Amino acid sequence: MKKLNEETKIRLLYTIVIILIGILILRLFYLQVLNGAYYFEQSENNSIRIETLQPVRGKILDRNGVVLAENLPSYDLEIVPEDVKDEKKEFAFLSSVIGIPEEKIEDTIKQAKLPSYAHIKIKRNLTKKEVIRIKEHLIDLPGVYVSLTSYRYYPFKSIASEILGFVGPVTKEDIEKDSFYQPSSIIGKQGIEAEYEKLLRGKNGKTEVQVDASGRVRKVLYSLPAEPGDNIYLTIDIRLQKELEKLVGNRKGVAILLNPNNGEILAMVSHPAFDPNLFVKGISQKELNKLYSENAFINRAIQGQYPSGSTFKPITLLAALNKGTVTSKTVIYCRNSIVIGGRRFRDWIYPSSFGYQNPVQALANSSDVFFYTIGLKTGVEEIVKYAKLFGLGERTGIDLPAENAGLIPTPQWKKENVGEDWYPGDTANLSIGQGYLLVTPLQIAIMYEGIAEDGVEYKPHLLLKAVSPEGKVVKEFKKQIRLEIKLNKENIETVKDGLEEAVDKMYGGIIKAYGGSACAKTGTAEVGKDKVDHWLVAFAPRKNPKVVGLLFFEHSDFPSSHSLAPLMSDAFKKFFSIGGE
Amino acid sequence: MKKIPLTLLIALLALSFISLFTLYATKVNFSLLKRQTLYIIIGFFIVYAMLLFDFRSLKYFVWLFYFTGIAALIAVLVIGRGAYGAQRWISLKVFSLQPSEFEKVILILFISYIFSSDYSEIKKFIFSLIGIILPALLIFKEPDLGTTIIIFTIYLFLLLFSLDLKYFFSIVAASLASIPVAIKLLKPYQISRVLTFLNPLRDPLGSGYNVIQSLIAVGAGRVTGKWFSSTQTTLHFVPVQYADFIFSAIGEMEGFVGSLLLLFLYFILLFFIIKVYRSLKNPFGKYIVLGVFVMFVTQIFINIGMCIGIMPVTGIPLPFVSYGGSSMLTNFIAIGLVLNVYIYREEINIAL
Repeated sequence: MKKLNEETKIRLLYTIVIILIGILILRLFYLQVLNGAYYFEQSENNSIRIETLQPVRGKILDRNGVVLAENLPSYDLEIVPEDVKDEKKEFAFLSSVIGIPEEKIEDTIKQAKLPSYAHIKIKRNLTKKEVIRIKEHLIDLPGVYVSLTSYRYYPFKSIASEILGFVGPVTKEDIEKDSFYQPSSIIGKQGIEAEYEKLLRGKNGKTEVQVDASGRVRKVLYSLPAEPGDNIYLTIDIRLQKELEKLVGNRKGVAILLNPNNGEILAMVSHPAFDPNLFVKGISQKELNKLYSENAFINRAIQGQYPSGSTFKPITLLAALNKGTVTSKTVIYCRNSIVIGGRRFRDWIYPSSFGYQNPVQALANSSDVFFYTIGLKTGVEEIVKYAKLFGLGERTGIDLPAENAGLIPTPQWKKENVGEDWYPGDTANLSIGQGYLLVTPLQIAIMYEGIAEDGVEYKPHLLLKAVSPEGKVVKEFKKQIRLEIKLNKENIETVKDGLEEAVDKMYGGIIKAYGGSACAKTGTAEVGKDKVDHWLVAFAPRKNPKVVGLLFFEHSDFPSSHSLAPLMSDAFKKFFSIGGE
Repeated sequence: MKKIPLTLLIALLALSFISLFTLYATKVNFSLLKRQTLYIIIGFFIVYAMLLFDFRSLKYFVWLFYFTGIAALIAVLVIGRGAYGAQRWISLKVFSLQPSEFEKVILILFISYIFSSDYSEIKKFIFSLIGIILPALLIFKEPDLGTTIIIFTIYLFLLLFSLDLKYFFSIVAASLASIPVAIKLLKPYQISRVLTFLNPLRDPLGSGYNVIQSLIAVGAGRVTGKWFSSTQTTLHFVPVQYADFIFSAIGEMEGFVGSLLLLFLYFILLFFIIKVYRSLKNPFGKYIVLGVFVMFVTQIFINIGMCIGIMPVTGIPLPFVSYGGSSMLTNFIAIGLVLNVYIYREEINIAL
């Protein structure tokens, strides 16, 4: 073979330079000029992260501005693993302060599956003592931080808890349904917290940050602060709420006070209840099971459905008066029992009897035989019509989630659901609020509001107003007429006569002890063998009524429904003493 | 004292400036910037010092250099310091020495010396082959595949340009035949780099990560660069962007225009070396210049090619730009040799 000549060598060297640099230039042209925009976008996506700033939740207050739900500062213990110098020493110290074993601290860090520069929460809501002890030693605890966050606090604990509800962590579905929520968000789970979630939660802020390859924030590019939620003022007066709470005691029951002029709920108790703070701090399974066994999560006032007992009787009477079956002067001789369809229906006073009774007397005495008689004469259709006119069998529309509608049985309903024909006995039972009839305590309260207001029912509500953090009223409840019933003036007065006379038969008219007139009706509903529910519903005064009150006890241990009258008296006294509007 | 040609001086100063500016703008540790500045100053002093003697006197030191080089490479394997999965450095008190960088220049001198000697062609071939196999194996063992490839390429070119073509072709043939054996000798990470080179998306979070991030960086520079709003390199999405991946920082910050400027500077450098080569008659000098040319051309192409995804990822620094003392000094020594040959060329040519 031979060697390359000098000319070829030189040409080869120049060619190499030109070809190789040419290749690089072509490739750079392709990357930077032709596809530059694509790679530019990729680099932006690499380094920019958008973070959501969570707003402060609005407070819930009573009508006078007493705070019922607020956000308290919470000192949380956080660890940034990569900043920790001496794991053994630091964790041992922390463990001695907060009482969490060292292994558990390590576990929490491992299970968080967060990058090593992230703040990992070890314990929420440190006590003051813990905060002070940790802060004193912070110099010796690199990587340990005490951060300030907030948690929801309900200062009145279980009082009004069924109204307020509570907040809890969001679920996966919540996040999927609404882009507002982050995995760390809280959401209203029940009650007002759930009903007015959108007002309370505020508006998310946003921050755009630049991060480096390890995810650390280097620069804040843009930041829009979160807007706190609106404060919600309720129609509730916490003083009345506490009074009713006291009256109900630890029995299973409901107590309601409402303003018949506009439907504002002034107090509404359902017992047993729960302390919503338990859910914020984390509830034990044992406590939770106990609450479940008590049905503590059911707001009996709007979700419990019970036979109304004798509180239904004004409807039967109005139906009969309207149809002309009876007039206010009609007198019926009432024996101690009556046979209907081969079955004997007893009066509650059996073996005694009421004898001659006009409608007013019969309502005051709550004579069952009287109402069986007029009910059968009037017929089921007319009674059902009046029950519906008063809004039974239909949700009241109160601003709380998951209200129940109750049930007005009709012949058709019975055929479809029980599979039997409607018998006269069913009509008799309905006439005195027994049988298949189901109502919620709030429905009965609203029905008596309708009587007190001569046929006008206002939609019951709890929201008084929502006020923005700047103090602007963003939502205000204007009273809404739920329904209006055209009633003969004389008929409604007959009913009121009966209800007013009834007051005198209870503990010598104790309900009038507040210093004015009152109308009331008791009810005793049989709900099982030897088990009764007791009702007492009242309004006062008779003319220009200011308040409607309702007491209801499930599986009551009172000797009779009349025994509720002193409680109602106390409730009214309290109401009028604080200058009920 | 003869003068350094102005264009070359400007090109070297411009490359140094690009290096320092890029290190500054990527916000690396400030001490790296100070060190690199020091290396560049020392580098220029070395170039100056190397002009004080005629390169032909180096012939007397070739064996000393050769054995010192071998000793240093052995020292690396025995007491060396590791980084990025390879053991390439000897820790001195203030400076980590990377002998494989200097070994490239030592071997250029060694081969040039052998090829310009009075031995017969077959002897030149055998001696040179034996002479480079030991250091090449030591460097491959570190492992430093990139430098091994560069040494091999230098050797091939010197062979092609000095001896009968049959030797060149026999080496090429032997290399092709030994590829299957070579694959067995490669470390798993080297095989993965080759596979990733063929398809970077094969392992986007592993060995393909560097390439993908580097591609994004270079592409994101678009025509005019992102300058101080660069994110890929300043936020460390491209790993070790101050050393082997420094071109990705230049591509992102200075865009297509800046990249072209850099390539133009290299173009000046390489054309100057070819010019020196052309003007020479002394074989020892010619081979040295050729060796330096091949060293620079392969390093520039492989390094930039790696950053823009047309060459596999190997730890080869970008001449005069990548951070690193050993590599910077080696570059200055190499260009010093070329300048020495350039300055003394007329004397030598006459002497012949």
